[in-house]
Amino acid sequence: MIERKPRSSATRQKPSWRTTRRDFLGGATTLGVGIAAGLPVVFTPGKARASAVIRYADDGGRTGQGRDRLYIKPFMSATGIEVKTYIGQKNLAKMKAMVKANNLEFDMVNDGGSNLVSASKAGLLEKLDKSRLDLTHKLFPEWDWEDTLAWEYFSGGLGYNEEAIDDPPRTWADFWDVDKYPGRRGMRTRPQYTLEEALMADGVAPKDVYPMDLERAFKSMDRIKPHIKIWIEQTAKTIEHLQTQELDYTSTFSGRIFIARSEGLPLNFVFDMPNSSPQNVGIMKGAQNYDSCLKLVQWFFNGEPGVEWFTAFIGYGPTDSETMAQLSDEVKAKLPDPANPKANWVDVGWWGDNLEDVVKQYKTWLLT
Amino acid sequence: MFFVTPFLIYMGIVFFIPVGLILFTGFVSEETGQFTFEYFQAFFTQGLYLRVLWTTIEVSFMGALIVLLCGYPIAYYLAKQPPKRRMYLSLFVLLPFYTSILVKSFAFVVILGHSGAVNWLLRFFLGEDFGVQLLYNRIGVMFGIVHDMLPFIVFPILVNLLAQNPALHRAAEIMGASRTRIFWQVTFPLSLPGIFAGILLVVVRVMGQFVTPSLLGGRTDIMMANLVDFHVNDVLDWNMAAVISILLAVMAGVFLVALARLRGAQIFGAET
Amino acid sequence: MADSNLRRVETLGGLPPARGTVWVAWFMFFFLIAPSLIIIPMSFGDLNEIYFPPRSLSLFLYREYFFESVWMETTFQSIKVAILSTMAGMFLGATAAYGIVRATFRGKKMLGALLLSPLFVPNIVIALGLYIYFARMGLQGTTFCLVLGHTLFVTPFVMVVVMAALRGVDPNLEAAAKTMGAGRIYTFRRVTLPLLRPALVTGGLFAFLMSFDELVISFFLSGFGTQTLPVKMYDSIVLEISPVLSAISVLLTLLAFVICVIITIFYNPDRRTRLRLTGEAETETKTTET
Repeated sequence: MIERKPRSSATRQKPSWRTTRRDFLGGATTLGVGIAAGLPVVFTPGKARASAVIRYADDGGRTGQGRDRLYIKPFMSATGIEVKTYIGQKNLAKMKAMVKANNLEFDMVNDGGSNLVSASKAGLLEKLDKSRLDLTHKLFPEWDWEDTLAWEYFSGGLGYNEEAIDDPPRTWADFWDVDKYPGRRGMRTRPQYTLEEALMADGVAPKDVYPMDLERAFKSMDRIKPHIKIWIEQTAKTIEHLQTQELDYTSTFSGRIFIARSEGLPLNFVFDMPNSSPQNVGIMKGAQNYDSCLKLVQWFFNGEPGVEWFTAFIGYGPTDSETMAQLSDEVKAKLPDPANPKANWVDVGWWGDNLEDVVKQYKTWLLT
Repeated sequence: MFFVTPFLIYMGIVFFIPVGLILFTGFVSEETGQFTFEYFQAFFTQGLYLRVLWTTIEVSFMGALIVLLCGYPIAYYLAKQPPKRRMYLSLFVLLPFYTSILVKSFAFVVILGHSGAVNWLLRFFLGEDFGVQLLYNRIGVMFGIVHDMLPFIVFPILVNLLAQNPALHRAAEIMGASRTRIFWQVTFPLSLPGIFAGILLVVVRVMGQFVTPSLLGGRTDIMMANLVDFHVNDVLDWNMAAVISILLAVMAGVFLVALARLRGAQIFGAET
Repeated sequence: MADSNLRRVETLGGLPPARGTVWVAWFMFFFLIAPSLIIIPMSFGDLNEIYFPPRSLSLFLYREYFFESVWMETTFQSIKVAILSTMAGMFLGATAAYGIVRATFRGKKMLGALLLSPLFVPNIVIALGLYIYFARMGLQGTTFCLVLGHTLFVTPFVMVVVMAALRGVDPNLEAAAKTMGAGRIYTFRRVTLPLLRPALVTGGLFAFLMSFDELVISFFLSGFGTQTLPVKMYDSIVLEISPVLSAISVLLTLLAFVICVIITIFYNPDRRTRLRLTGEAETETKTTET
């Protein structure tokens, strides 16, 4: 290190602040220019600007892809309204978080009845202006809510891989019988449909399932808990696990099974004990493009793609009687028969009131 | 000093305030706005949280132990190589270090699955019906963790080994000690500080793991980071999420302080 | 005698390793590399399935990655965030490292530890803090907050690299500049930084890779439309494994490999090897041991 500073003025060090100020200004200008240039790049709007864009949340996997192909794309070309599909978390917590922070990531959502009726009861959805919707040919008049509309229904039940299993359980009680049916089982990490299965396995007749005796349901779940190989979070994964033979049978949805079948996968569905539920659409509270969304709601209910969709995606049924009338008999044969005493129809109204608490209870139970 | 200010200010805005916010969310009641222990109480009284806490500790230490057993031979072998060769062989360890954990976890999902490479091999040799559940359970998690943490155990030990005084080894050799004896009586004891450093580092990192237990583990392999995710994205309970994070940070802090104490000349091998 | 403890030896003394040890070591090497290797043939699979071994080979999955808009969008988002964070990180990290190493005040070790603290805090904690912070400001889900988060994450890495390299930079050079009348910033900019070039390259590449691969913070901070590639990949694995992931994994591993090799070359502690490999001119500077 330098020992002594020379005293002569010629080599006297300039006061450091003088140089630094100039340097600082130069640096600051460069920084400022950089920021100004980078600002538009960085502040990408996450929110939709024009009202002509609908951000729509849907499931992933083949079902979501199918809906995108058969419903969304035709909608875009028919109306000219742009739709951006969002695939990700769309559960109650997410919707709550978005509405609370006033920061919507999607405007419209397509989800199971239990989820959307709960969202509706929690005040998270916009009221659907029924006067602007044509709902004259409703197949299920009891499915009537203010903020959400049932546009199709689907059936849950047991899916299995035909190559691995030739004798699957035919009732939920059978599924609970690990000795008679020793295969590797999967169940869902969500209480909807699962707790109903538990009650039915315990001997409750489908018509008596609601209001649900939760204590009995959880007791029944306790019995099967140690025998479940995989607890599945996402529906699409049920198909994957059957496909890779990670599981022999699992609780899943008939529609998914049939899609997989049509792609050549050896998966099948047990029809004897369906667990059917409406699939709804809803518009998030505070969505900026209500009118466009309403059009999409109508499109889902009885739009043109209906016949093609329900024919291609067997296992899903329309809620519009006109669409239903146009479906072929063999397609209708695969739909759950409301008269079947073994068929359970999920009471989404009950779930609407209880979903949040039961979810918490269930997830906690899962982790212990 | 002057040069430190940009980052210091940045950290003030982007790090210290959010950390304070977590503390605030964990210690201040949502309803009353008062300081409270209620959320911490909830944590320590409910089986679920204690269970996950125990899982986290268990996985961290078990993982660290296995990683040590797997990693020491690597470090030892590398230490015995000439420097040029060592540099090339280190790539084996460095590449996983630079590879994204997501890529590694995905690879394991593919490899350990029922239709994956391992089971395929087993079925090839042992018959069609043979299948081992290596995924969505603790085994899968361990595979993922050990693979991810090996570089972190190898390098501290390697550094330690390379700093050991060769005169000591030569002396033992001259005295007629066998290879095993030299190792257990000279090399290993001197490498203990490096071992501890590596273990502490691994434990801290494993405790905060999120991806591996999520992708490779089952229902009972949930760790604290996953629980934070659960509380934010599934249940919308920021308070409990904050509590869990605080506890995680404290646990990590304790081990890091221990690690810091070990640093310094100790790591480089001490003379007897 | 105490001195020889700290001398860097070329090889560990004693006899060569036992057969058993060699086998174990090589088995572990295989274990380390195997996942990356196995993914490679799977990425050339033909079908939309994940079977091992793959039935037939094709570039189907790679094409899907490059032509599927959703993957390309998230990739560009990742690149964007990574570049911005790396630039910010290099500026903040280099300046902070310089400030700490050249500092003369008492609490410099403490300050150094403080500035490096994000390295020691589990990512999930940082992620949660930033999430709550930005959510309250209404910024959650924007690219802006992603960049802020990534910069915070990445800067300590740059700092560590630069701090280590600064020890090899002769402070006399800076002092000489100062006596010639250069100000602090000028000295830093024109004297120190050029000498730090290898470290800056290393730090920058490292920062870029860390940001590009970062998942946990991005997971909490990104929203619809601002997802980074790792977040999309994670969502995809959780949702339904898309075999495209094999192709993406191979590409990411390739990126990691390239960066790993470059860094190993630039940052080789054996100065002669490094100079030879990079073709830098030999600058004879006498470095004093601090």
